This record gives sequence, structure tokens and C-alpha cells, in this order.
Amino acid sequence: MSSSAELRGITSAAVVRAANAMLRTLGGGEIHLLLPAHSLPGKTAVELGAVDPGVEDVTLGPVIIRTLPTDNSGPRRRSEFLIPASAVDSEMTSHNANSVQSLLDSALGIVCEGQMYRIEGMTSEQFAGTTYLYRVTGCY
Amino acid sequence: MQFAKDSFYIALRERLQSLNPSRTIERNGVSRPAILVAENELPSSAPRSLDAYYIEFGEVVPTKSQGEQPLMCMECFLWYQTQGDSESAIDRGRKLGLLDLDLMAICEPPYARKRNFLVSPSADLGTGIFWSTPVLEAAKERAMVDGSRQIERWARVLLYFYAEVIPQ
Repeated sequence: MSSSAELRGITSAAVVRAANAMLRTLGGGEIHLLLPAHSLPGKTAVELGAVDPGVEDVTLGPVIIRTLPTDNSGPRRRSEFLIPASAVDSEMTSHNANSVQSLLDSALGIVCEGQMYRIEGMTSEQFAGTTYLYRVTGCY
Repeated sequence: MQFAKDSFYIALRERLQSLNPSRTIERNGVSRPAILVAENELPSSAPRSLDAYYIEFGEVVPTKSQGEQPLMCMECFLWYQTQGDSESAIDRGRKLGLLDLDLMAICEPPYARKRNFLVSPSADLGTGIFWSTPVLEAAKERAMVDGSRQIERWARVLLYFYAEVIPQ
């Protein structure tokens, strides 16, 4: 049975494409998600912090970056990264993550304009049960 | 000092593995005993795992001893949290009690050999480490953003060891 959205001629796939196009039109740039390399064997030396797993640089785009206000006592800069679902979902699949949240949880941070942002949190925008946009908040 | 920290962690890890093989966590796609050293983990924005012991090391002071080498005393903190097994989290206190019980069990006997685990097979460094009985601090409850409740506890252990002899 079709959802009401499909009956009106809008499918969730169309919204995903529309979000992608909108972010690209607004001048979407690129950010880099730093992930630990995957070839970590389950060895004692790893658990003792004696083996550097290295990092993998994953480029995400198109992304819009919004600057958020910060407290005087808080981080120097806080930003919100608007990332289309199409960009994140493909990386989620290729990195064997079972959700975008777990992919971001495993990330060491986001590199944007040469600055390393620590990931604070993530929310998603959905339409007809499909996520079309992720809002990731980071700070340094 | 690093060898003492490593030996303390490995001793507790091996004991937990044999005491309660089902108490494991998933890390980077690998299942391992649910005990880890916080400073050895990759930085992450993810919240700490439930039902797992996190070891943190504190102040190190020399004790008044007569020997040539000072006996060092290091504070070790073990932190753990749970929200129970039931959806309502009504059993969180009981689950914390089980974690307490496992912790007390893996801390006995309160000694181990100091070894270098960075070589294979690990090398005995000629001295031992020993530690005090864990002091369990008061449990604290926290309300989470999603409405669930978690209960956590810090346990404090004093770890004694001789500093490593650096060959000249």
C-alpha cells in the first residue's frame, strides 16, 4: 500500500536527491571524517595502546557548514555540518557500520578547513520514513 | 610504571575472561573481555559502554620503604555503569551488584607478576605487583536524555610496584 507521500507524487528517494541538490546549490563544500583504520587485530598490544591503527580519511560532500554560538567558557568554535544522507549512507555500507550513529561514534573527528572538530552529536531529518539529511555538531 | 599498569590490566582481563566469559564488549568489530584501560582507547564521541569496567590511573607516590628501590603506590580507578537488563531498568541496582561481585572476584588474589607484554611471549620482569582490596564508592544514578536511568560506580584500588630498572 502506498504512503500518502507517494500518493502525492513525492517519494523518499526524491527527497534524498532533492536534499543533495539543495546542498550542492548552496555551495556545499567537503569535510573529512577521520576514522581509525580497520585492520586492527584483536591483539594484546592493541589493548595496551602500543599499536597505532592509523587513520582513514573519508571525504563527505556536498556539506553546508553553519557556525553556532559558543559560550565564553565553552569551546572556541562550534559548527553544524549539514550532510546529505546519500553521502553518509554509502560510507556506512562500505565501512560495515550498522548505523550512521555507530559510524560517527567510531570517528576520531571531522576535519574542516584544516581544523579538527570533535563530534558532539548528530540528529537526522526524515521524510516518509527515510532520512535525507544529517545534522552533525562539532567543536574545537 | 607502564609495565605495572599493563600487568594490572592483563591480570584483571584474564581473570574476568575465565570468571565470566559472557561479559564481553565489541570494539572495532572484535569481541573482548569487558574491561579496558581508558587511556589506551581511541578517542571517540561515543558514550562509554554499559556493563564494562574502565580503568583509569591516578596519582603515583613513593612509599616509605627500606630497600634500594622505592616501592611505588598508584591510585587506580575502575568505573562501570549499567541500566539493567529489563526494558524498565528496574533491575539496574541488581545488575550493578553483579558487576561489583565480579570486580571483587577478579581482584583476588591481589597480586600478579610484572611482565612485559610488548614482546612475544611476554617476559617476566623479575618483580611483582600487588594491590589493595577495591573500595566501592557510593553508586550514583543518572537520568539519560532518552528517559532511561543508568547507575554507575567508581571503585578505588591502590596498586603497589617497584619502578622498572633501566639498564645502563
